[in-house]
Amino acid sequence: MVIYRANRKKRQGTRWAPLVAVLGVLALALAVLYVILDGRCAALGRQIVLLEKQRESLNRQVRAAESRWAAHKTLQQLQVALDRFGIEMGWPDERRIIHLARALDAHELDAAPEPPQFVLQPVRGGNPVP
Amino acid sequence: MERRQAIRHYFAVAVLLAAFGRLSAKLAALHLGANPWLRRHMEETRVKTTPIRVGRGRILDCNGRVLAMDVPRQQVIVNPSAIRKAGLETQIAAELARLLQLEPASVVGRLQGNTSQYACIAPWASDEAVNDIRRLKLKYVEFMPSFERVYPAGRLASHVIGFVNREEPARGMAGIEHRMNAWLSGQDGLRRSEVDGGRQEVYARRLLEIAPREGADVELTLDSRLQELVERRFDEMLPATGADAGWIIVQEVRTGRILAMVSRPDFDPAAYSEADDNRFMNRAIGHLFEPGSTFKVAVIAAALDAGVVTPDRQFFCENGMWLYRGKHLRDYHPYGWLTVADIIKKSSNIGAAKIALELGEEQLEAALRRFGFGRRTGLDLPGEQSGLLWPRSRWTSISITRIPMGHEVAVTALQMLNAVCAIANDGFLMRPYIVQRVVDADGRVLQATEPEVISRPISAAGARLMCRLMERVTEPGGTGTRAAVPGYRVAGKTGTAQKPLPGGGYSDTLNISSFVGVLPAEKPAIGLIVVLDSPRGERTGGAAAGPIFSAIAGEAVKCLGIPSDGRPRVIDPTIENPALSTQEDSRDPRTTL
Repeated sequence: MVIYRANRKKRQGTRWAPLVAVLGVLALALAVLYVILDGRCAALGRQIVLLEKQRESLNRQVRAAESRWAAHKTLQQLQVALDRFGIEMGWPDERRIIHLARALDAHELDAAPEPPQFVLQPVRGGNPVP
Repeated sequence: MERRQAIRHYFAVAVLLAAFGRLSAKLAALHLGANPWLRRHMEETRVKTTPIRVGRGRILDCNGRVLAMDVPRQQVIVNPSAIRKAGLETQIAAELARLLQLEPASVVGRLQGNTSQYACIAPWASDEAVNDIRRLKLKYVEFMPSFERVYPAGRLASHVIGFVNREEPARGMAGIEHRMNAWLSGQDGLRRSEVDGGRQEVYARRLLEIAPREGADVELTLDSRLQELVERRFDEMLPATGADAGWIIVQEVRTGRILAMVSRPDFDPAAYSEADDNRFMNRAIGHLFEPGSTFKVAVIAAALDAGVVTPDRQFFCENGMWLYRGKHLRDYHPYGWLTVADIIKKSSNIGAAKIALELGEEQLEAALRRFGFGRRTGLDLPGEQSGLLWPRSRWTSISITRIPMGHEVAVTALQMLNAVCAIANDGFLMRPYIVQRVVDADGRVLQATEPEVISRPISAAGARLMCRLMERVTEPGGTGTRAAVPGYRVAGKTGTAQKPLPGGGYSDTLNISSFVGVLPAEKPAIGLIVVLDSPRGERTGGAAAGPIFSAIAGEAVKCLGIPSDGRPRVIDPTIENPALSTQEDSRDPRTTL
């Protein structure tokens, strides 16, 4: 029977090879990962730039729409619209203006009186009463 | 033969080596050398700097209605010399004129008569029009973002709002646009980044970004509903008076807030270049005039407050003509004995002069200065005049008899109104203001104006007494009966002053007619002044300005919801019979405006 003995010299020379291979694969993986991430970042960057442009465009549209709306709801335009339908509107007489001491809460609505009709004046600095 | 070949061979090799050597040297120089111009050129090619434009802030009324705002547009720019060389003038001009709705001849004119490489065809083209032009892919046509200042309400309150010039960025040139320019103007931002081969920005290589700062919104105390109402009614009534010009101010008595301000003639802020200079003056604060009899209010109030006279003390009014220090002083109508109360009601010049003599020069001057005459009120609008009230050392011997009838002094309508409002406000002279708040794009309040007392020319008792006496002016027998408002008690005063002539002396035919008043007299909420420059026909303040005051004040109280007795009806909606629960509001109604 022949007994093979390991060649120590030879074994010592090839001991690092797997490590180098692992490191090489790792480096390659890192490089691929870097390329992927870089590509992803670039894609996201392009998307951000695109969204920024979209936001700018939307801002422009909002401003333009706001301007058109402001022009449409001027008092002159409202008067034109009223005239077109033959509606005459004036300011309510003093006797028809009543200030409410406080606002009604929802649970009080049933108990609320049924007045003929209140003409509510918007209070300056607050929201107009519908 | 072989030797010759060898020489050729070596020569070729030497040439090649030299060429490669030169190339290598150049390459080394390019990569290793400083090459500043080359690096700069490369950077310019690779790096793009883009300004981030923002528009001006908005101007809003007290209810948030937009009075002025910026709308993003595009500037359409062409290269005329390149277009001419390419022979494309007619084609490009026709397309641009069609899509921008311009006259083709004017576009052709701008292309042909221009040797430069830049011509602006349309400063404010809409995005829709620009997209249409882009689709045509016209050569030598480019676009730049711009902002157009628009005024949705048109000419409404044009003197208050003002206008901006057409530079980029725009600057306010008049009114609030000018005074609040620093707040309204935004600060453009900047973006500097590397670009790819297609000149598209590489986000990861963004080198610098300075965020823009949007212009702040300016909120006014002006009520556009009231402003519109006043302007419409004034435009209806002004032509009938034949006046060359007219102006009106509505002020909140308690706070000094300006609710409406009208000056005629006016202009369109969006087309200011087409208006003549005469239209730009805000006469309500910029036109000085001798106030006439409205000035008596301040003089008599001071005399009453000082205890020099009482309402029932009588003065002899010399039957209409009084010779004082060699000069005649006349009344419009001759009167004999009149009480102080009737001197106001009948507007006697002689009576007012005698009251001033009782008061004395020193006290008179001090009182008038406390009322704010001779100095600016401090309104936050440009162009306010300070008026004219000479120091006592420069008065003549008859000045004390002329000043009470509103001569030898010059005021603005705002000063006069503010003085009358002080009488209606228990003697507190408020600083008028028209800018309520400045709010930035994030909603932060950058500046807010609070009511401010300037001085207290008279006591509360004196002010209330004077207010009651002024009420009699609009009652039967007074000079201001036509200024009365049905259902309301009005305290006011008429004024008719002869216009001074440029060469000296006074005109017999031209007047400044005015009426200034507050209502409701019980608890004054608003003050209003109407001034007419050179009305024809009926020229007195009561006849010319009175009816305009009546019409406008009558609608203004309805618009603002001011009850006739100054006490709003308040009900508790939870009580079964609201009619029985009607109660007086404990709050001061003037604060609920």
